[in-house]
Amino acid sequence: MLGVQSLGPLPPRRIAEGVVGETSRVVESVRAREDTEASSERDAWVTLLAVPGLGPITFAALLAALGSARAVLNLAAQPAGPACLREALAGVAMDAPDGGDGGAPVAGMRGHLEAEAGEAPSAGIVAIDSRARHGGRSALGADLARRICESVELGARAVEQVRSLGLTVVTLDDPGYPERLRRVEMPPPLLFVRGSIDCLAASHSIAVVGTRWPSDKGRLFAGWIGSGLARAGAVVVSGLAVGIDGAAHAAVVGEGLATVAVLGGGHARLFPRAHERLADAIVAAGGAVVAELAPDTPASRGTFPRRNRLVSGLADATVVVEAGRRSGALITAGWALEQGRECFLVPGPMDSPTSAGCNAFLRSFPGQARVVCGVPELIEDLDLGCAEDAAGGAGDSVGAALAANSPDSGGAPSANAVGAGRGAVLASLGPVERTLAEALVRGPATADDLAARTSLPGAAILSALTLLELRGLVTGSYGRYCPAGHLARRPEDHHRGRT
Amino acid sequence: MLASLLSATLQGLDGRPIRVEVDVAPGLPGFTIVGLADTALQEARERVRGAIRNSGYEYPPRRITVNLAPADMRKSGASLDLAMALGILVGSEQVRANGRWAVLGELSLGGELRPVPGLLPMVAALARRHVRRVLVPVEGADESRLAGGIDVVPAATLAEAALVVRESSRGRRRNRPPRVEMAAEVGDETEMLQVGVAREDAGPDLAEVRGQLEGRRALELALAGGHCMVMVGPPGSGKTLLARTVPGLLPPLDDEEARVATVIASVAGSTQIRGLVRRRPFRAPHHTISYAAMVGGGPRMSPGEVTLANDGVLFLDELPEFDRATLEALRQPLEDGYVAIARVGRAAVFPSRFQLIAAMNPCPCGHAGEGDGRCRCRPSVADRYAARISGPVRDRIDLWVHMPRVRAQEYVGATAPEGSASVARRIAESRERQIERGGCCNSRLTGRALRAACAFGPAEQDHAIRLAEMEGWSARGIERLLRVARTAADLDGSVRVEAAHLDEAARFRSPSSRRSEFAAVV
Repeated sequence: MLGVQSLGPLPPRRIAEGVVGETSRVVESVRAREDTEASSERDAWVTLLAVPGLGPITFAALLAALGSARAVLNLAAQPAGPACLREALAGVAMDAPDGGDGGAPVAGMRGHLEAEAGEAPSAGIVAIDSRARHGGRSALGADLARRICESVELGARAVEQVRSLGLTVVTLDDPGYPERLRRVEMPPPLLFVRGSIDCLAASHSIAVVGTRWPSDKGRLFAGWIGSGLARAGAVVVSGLAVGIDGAAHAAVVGEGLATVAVLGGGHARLFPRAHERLADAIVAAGGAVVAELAPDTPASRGTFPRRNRLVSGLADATVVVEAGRRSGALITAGWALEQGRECFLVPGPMDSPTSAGCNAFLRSFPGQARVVCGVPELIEDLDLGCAEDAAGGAGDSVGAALAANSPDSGGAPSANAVGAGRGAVLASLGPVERTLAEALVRGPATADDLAARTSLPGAAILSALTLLELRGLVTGSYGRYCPAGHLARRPEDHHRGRT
Repeated sequence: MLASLLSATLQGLDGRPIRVEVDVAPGLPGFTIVGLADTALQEARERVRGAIRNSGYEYPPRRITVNLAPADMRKSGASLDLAMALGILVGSEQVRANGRWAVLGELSLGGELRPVPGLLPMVAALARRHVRRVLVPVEGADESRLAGGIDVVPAATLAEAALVVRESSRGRRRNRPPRVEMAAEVGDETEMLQVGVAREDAGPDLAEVRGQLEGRRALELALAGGHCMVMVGPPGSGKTLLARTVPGLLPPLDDEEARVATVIASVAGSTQIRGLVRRRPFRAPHHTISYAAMVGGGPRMSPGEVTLANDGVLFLDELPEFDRATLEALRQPLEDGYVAIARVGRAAVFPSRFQLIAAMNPCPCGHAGEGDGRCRCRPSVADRYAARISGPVRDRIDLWVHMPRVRAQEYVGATAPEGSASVARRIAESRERQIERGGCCNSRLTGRALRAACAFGPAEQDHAIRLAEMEGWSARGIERLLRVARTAADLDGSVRVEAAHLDEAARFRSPSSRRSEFAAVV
């Protein structure tokens, strides 16, 4: 945990039992080697990377040129800052691969750069070199140099924001930096983490992604896969988008287990806004919300593909539940293959627009892309071991902590507590609600379908639906109701039902 | 010679008595109208000239001056035609007349009398001035008699009108029309007639609507409590059909409402009025409607759709397609129940206590939420589409109902849905209960009266708070919840609002963009 520093306390409402223990440990270890040097260098990283347009490549080049981020900022603070910066970069970038003397905080980064450059002509480093050498001019644009110098004055703001949001900053130099991500090409120099850093380094981590416009089935599958993988002991990584991503996150949070959400923008500009509560719940359940970009960066068209490489990079394998022909989820799948990770896709009917992308991807990458033909099979393919055993371990403690911590906001705690099965939930309902719940288990339905299935009077159906919704057992949009929580069919049940 | 007659014009929904003075003097032949007359009135010169010539009288080749008093009031419409024509005939000494006559009516070139819009309020205004007799076009006689307190004498042509005036002036009571009935007596006779009319344009029966349990129930609640309602659903899900069943479900107007409705119908002038209008209005303007047509105004300060739908239903199909300004203009009428229109030199206040029922698609393509992946609108596009209905208007809507596409098996299924008759009965009974308890329907209860009417026990109170917390409702949202729950209880015949009524009301809450698949988890 050395080198990981927590910048300020978490707000009280976000502190779940597990997180408190973990955070205090981190804080203690940091206090033990209170190092103002390292701290200000970290601040300098934050300041520099908050400069719009300054990406990992230029950042790496600047560090290579000047030794440390603080040195960069010091140089930028001088009257002729922009020119100095450009000159410095032009000079040193040329002999970057030979290496200069790296300051202590940059050693890891430097080492990484050298290792990559030495092993294989990796794109990132080659790009800097060729631009610097063959272009015969500085790798640093005049505009960017000016922006860096301006940021020196504004620098404190980014740092302050990180602190006020209660974010943990993990740099590429920190031992706590997720090992999986370190291995991808051009890893982000900084990660802004809200919640537990430990779950980024979990032994099993699977990405579950898909379209923002899923079908009802897709939403259901995303929930099954998410909760199934989580109970099998994996941390589920996704993109917090509406649709499949949200359904997968929500299912894991519903189990009280850890999931990692990777943002397309910065923490202060959480996108989509509709998922603010989901993000809070992810943190409360011991998961993490991660961003590569400075807190103030808005999500935009260009940031999402960049985010997708983190989603696949943080996971051992990527599962695409549903994807249209041009879905961004396919980019994630592509990244997974490129990063040498496994890639699973849920196939769909050949006329289904929401599965067209999955089917096309499976066709394009035979032998690489793999098929999901059931949740137990997926867990088996991923070597995750027995689902029930894993669920008994970490899951229960976090879930219990969550249940103990969350105020009773109307929902019956027993319905949400981990371990209570569907039977127990059904038994706790009144006769009308139980009849309705049993009818809903048969699949998503409109009020008319429910009337046909139960022959209850209309007014009774409508009131009972509200009660079920209050207890988190039903979710509805546009007049169609889906089972949720413990009513949503478990993949095991589904599997057993078929065989 | 100078002739002076009493007539009236329309201003807003009120009649204004106008004295028409006609001077037929020697001089160059000419016809001048003074006294702030609008174009339709200026054109009266041609109609009057033609009508006189074609009725067998002589149009005097002299200098004719018509003065309309009071002089500072802007006058419009053709209701003064008959007064001018008779004035010329009297002024040129072709007809002898005196006595306190008021005359109303438009003339054709052939001399026939035509009814004008707003006869009823004009006659009523004359009656208030203690005018004893009024001459009106034949087609408008029934309508004019509704005013009461004044003798209504019908005439079909200018010649007949001249005869009536002359006869009475000679004191010969031959052909004197019988003294007409008062409004209340006419009412019953014509109500039967109205039922006949009602049956033919009551719209489709509710049994025609297949499926849509939620939509039908929401409509029943809305009509019972007078709540504003919005239906959201894909094209072809039956929103418009459901709305078109509304006329057959609405209870008839009570006496006071009917009086206002008849005046409005008279001013609107679109149909011939034979008795008190007992049917609740149902107006369904197209979404290309202009601002003035919606709230009223225009050169003649005509009532708009919000007024024509007074005490009834205003149905706006494709709500987000309406002009933004037009929708915003609904705020005052929705809030206050009237609309005040001011133009330079004129102002009018129209009643507009209508119930808004609207339909819209969930997104521009219309297929969001069908769960089959057909909708390709971005979530933000759907949000923006819904946001075309601004917060203040949204706030006035008590019921939001989603209407999913109807499945084939529902459409061809054997079970016959409930028909209009029994639902209409429940709605009427529920309204009676509401009037008995609070003196008005639930949508118009004040916050305090509403809370008193709910008669919550501690358990229901807790339940209401829990429901409110579930979605982070505002004070306004909670009030809406209570209102609808009160109506659900009234439909049930329950004195108190039970938890089940609250639960049902909560189904029809406003869809919030903050909701997501996550809503179920926490």
